[in-house]
Amino acid sequence: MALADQSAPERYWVITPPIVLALFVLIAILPWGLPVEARFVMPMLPYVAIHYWTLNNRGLMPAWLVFLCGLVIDFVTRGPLGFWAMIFLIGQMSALWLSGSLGATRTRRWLGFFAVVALLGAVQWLTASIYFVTWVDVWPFATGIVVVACVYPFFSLALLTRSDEKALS
Amino acid sequence: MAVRTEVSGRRRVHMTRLRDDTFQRRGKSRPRRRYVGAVVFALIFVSIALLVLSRLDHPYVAAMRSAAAPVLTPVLTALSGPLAPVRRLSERVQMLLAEQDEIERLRAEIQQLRGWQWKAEDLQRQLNALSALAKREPDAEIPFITARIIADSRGPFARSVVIDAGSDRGLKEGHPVISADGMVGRLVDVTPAAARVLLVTDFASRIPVEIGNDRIRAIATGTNGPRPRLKFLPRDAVPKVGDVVATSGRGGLFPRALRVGTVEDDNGEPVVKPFARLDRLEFVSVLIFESPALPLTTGTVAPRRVGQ
Repeated sequence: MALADQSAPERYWVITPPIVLALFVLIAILPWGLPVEARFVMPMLPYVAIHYWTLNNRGLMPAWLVFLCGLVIDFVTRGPLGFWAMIFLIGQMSALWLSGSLGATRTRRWLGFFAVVALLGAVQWLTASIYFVTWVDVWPFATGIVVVACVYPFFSLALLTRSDEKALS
Repeated sequence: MAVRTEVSGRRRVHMTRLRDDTFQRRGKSRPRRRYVGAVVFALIFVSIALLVLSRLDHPYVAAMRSAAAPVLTPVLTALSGPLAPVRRLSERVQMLLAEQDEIERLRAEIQQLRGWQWKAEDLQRQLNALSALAKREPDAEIPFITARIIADSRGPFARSVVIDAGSDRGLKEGHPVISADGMVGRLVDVTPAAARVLLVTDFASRIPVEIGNDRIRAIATGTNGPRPRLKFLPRDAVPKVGDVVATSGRGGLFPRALRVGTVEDDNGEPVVKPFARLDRLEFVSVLIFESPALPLTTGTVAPRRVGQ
């Protein structure tokens, strides 16, 4: 269905995910003067939006958009190309797999998100260790997992008043 | 009333569509789900291939970065300017949290610096007199430019920042970068409008340094952690905790006597606590220092091209 043929709320929901994702990417890459520990948290923020829309309406969060968002973070942060793209895509694949088995209750959804973020933290740590050929410190990754897991409920609560959440309940 | 009924009818249709998309996709759109899964899997494979090419430092990766820089730099420059108040607020909150320790540290430092000021003035007088006697050529002043940080590093990889000045303002790869507090790093990628600074804490950073009054030579090696390690120390050399670490000028890549940090002990291993607050940088100065060692290598190493 073309964008012009859609009703106002439908148009709103089609453009919201890319806009929110772009916003999260900007938050992740801009210099906020945050302490060193926050640097492991910030790039994971876009995954909050990726997970949310992959579970709720996966057509609005295509894989190419996720890949592009990861590449932008890799370019700007000068990490190895493909790292964040791979992390976000593994996250999206896990969310796709979970969407069949997760219920609609908020607690189960949050637990699902926590499980995926923990998996992504482990993949990040392992990839970084292989990349540098040394065991890198695990604690910054663990802190990142906990902080991002705490952000998700607030994000989904912020969108809860919208109609598609009502449709889910 | 009629309008209300129409709106409510449209809303019901919209809800039904959303519900269909959310729940019935499990049953009816299994092939589509498989297709989406295949696309995600293929893109993961592409990402891993890019990751391997990056690890191998393939010239294609450098070419892709150079191509992306002109697109991303104007966006980052435009957005980082208005962020200055947010950065200052964040800095103030962090300072408030550590205020008491900071005040004590500054008091001790002022006392120490008063003593040093007198000694430095006296030494300068002696140096001037001896230089005149020996007809010594005075050190050339190094020109510099000041630039704003427009992006900083994230995640487990490179410790680097991007500045809003590049080759258009005369910057080249290798130029040292300092802040008001001390050494920050050196330029590694330079595009016309922006450049990337590899911080002293980055895994790839190696800086020849001298430690304390004994001028013990070592290499400050980045670890991606907050404290670079001191490696290649001479046998029997024991750097003291608190000794000042400065660039030695050996190798000619950096000028002499740029303050890097102080020696700290990390489980028996000497590390450097940088003077520069690398997580709170807003402006830095790039020294237009032409390495005297560079002409010696010209022509010996051919620059790599894409595809080589």
